[in-house]
Amino acid sequence: MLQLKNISFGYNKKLGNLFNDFSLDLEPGNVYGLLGKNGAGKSTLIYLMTGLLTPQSGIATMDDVDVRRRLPKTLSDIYLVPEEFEMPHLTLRQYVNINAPFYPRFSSEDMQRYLEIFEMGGDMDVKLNALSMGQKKKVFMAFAFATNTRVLIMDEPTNGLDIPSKSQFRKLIGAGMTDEKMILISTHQVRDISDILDHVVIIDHSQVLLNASFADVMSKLAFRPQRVDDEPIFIQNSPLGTLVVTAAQPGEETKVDLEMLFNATLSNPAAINYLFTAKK
Amino acid sequence: MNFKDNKAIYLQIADRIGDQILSGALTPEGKVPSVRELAAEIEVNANTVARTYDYLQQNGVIYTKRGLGFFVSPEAKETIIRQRRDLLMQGEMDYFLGQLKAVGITPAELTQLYNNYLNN
Amino acid sequence: MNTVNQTFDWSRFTAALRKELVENKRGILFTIIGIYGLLTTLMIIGNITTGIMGGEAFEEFGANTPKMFIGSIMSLVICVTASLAFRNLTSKTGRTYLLTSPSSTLEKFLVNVLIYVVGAIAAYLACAQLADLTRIAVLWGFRSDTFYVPGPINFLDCVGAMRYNFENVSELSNFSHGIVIAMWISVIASAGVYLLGSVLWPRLSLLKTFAAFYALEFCFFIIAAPLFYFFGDMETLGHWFFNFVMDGNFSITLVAINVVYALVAWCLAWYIFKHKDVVSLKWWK
Repeated sequence: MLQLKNISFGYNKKLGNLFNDFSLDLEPGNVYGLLGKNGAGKSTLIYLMTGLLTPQSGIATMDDVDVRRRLPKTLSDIYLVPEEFEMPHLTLRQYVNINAPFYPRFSSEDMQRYLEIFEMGGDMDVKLNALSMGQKKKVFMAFAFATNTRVLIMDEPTNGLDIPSKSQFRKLIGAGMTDEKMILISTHQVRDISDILDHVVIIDHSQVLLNASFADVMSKLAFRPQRVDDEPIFIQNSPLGTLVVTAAQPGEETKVDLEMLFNATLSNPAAINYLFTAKK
Repeated sequence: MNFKDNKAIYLQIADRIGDQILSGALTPEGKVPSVRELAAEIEVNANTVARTYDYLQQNGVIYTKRGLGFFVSPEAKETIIRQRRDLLMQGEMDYFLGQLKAVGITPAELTQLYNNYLNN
Repeated sequence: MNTVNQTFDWSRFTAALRKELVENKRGILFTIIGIYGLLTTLMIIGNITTGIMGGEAFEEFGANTPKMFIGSIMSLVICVTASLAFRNLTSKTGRTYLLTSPSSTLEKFLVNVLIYVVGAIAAYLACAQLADLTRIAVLWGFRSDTFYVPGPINFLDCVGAMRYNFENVSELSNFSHGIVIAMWISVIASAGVYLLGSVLWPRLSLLKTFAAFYALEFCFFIIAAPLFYFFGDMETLGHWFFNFVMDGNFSITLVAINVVYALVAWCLAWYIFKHKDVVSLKWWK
């Protein structure tokens, strides 16, 4: 649905290209986690996906339409929740009234439902700029989901949310997700969202190191305390003892520890790559 | 819901539903929340819950009525007890018995301990 | 939505227009009040300084003076409003908000043109008329033999919307049509230049555009003058140019220059807007 094909992009010649011949396919019905170190290019990738940046070569498409053309039919089917945003000097009602017409699938019932998940359903006449940063974010996300765009991209959505709000956010994903939608969450706060993802994309040095479903990861990797005859891909010392990421035994299914998976992939990309791309 | 265990999440959710059936919170032929409802409630990806439901269906703990959703099987309680018993026997029981032998606990002592436990 | 025209659609355009107006209603209202205040002040002061000279002074200036006055002030005001047209491109968050809004690039451009150039002109004329009436309301009571307060000026007439009154046969009126056309073209050209500045430099747009424009003029002069001196027969060229302009072709010269400015500025403004990204690449590095 959303495809990046052979994208090459850099901000200036001195730093060189951030991405070289980078490709990625994102399919509907999935909640993707986009993980990468600081400076790996997560935000850049998001801008390239939403037509906000022009690649030097290659193309980003949504349903085979170049997103950089910024056609209304594309823009009305992609919603970006950036890490930082400004809100105009309006009430919530006014904001919805002027922005909803651009999204043909917008639903006010959904908007109400999502506001209620965030416990903000009461007052549509509240001034947006009177809200705290966290509350603004919640309103923005409720609106984002209510537009019912098929693609929803969120950059650090849990940043600035208090603990109850993070829980509400997870409920929102559960309530708002459908088989036609694709949600991509770019974040460092892996623990906030690991249970609501079903796909993980890990990037580093302008390459996709891993693009796999959780089901796939669970069948190929085990996350557990070290055993004697293990050949671990990655070892982590923790207060609970030595934890490893290692190739799973046939039929072994452990909980996917996203943080460990991230560390393992970054430190031992070759092993991860072998496990996930080698033909069986 | 806190997924502290190393066990796969979808299995942990299955255990939780099993606990609810054993305790009577979910009754035989009673309705089980839809995949999306449960996913939102416990804040987990819907595909994971779908996998749990698949697993429970395969084990005969729940079944679907087309268009109406998932329901607890009439014999669910017995099924779950049987499955957990098998698991215990295959897994931890051996280890536990080994521990008892190692510290020299006699069968008579074991019987008394178990009787005391059941009476309290 | 897929069957709707992706370049321009009326309902989408109206929604985009409404969005820009509602989001900026404070700023727009403030600007209109500012224009009204400015014009009222100028007109009252102007009336006071010339009114003392008596009614004949007005007849001397001729019917075209208020027209040029209004025209040149209008140019100034439109430059200011045009430089505000794309101020939401200043911040990254503003750019993200604008570029992801689901209207077409053409619609986004036209909305800003409609509000900050066309709308500004209409608002200006309305304010001018209102300011004039305010002038009369304030000064009418002070009318005397030594203080002349002219009646209401019809500003639509000033900007050539009505048929011209050719009764006044002073020299300047020979250029009346030319002046009006030249004025309008110069307004469109200046608007274009400042619109371009607004897209190029959303931050401190007015200042930067003004500086850049006059720097350009200055450079042109610096380059052109020596060229004329070395490569041209300065005297003959000078004579020809002087005669050409003073023979009544002043308007045409002005119009020609402004038409070129207008075409270049507007086309560049559109082109640069179309290629705006959320982060500007420094291509020269």
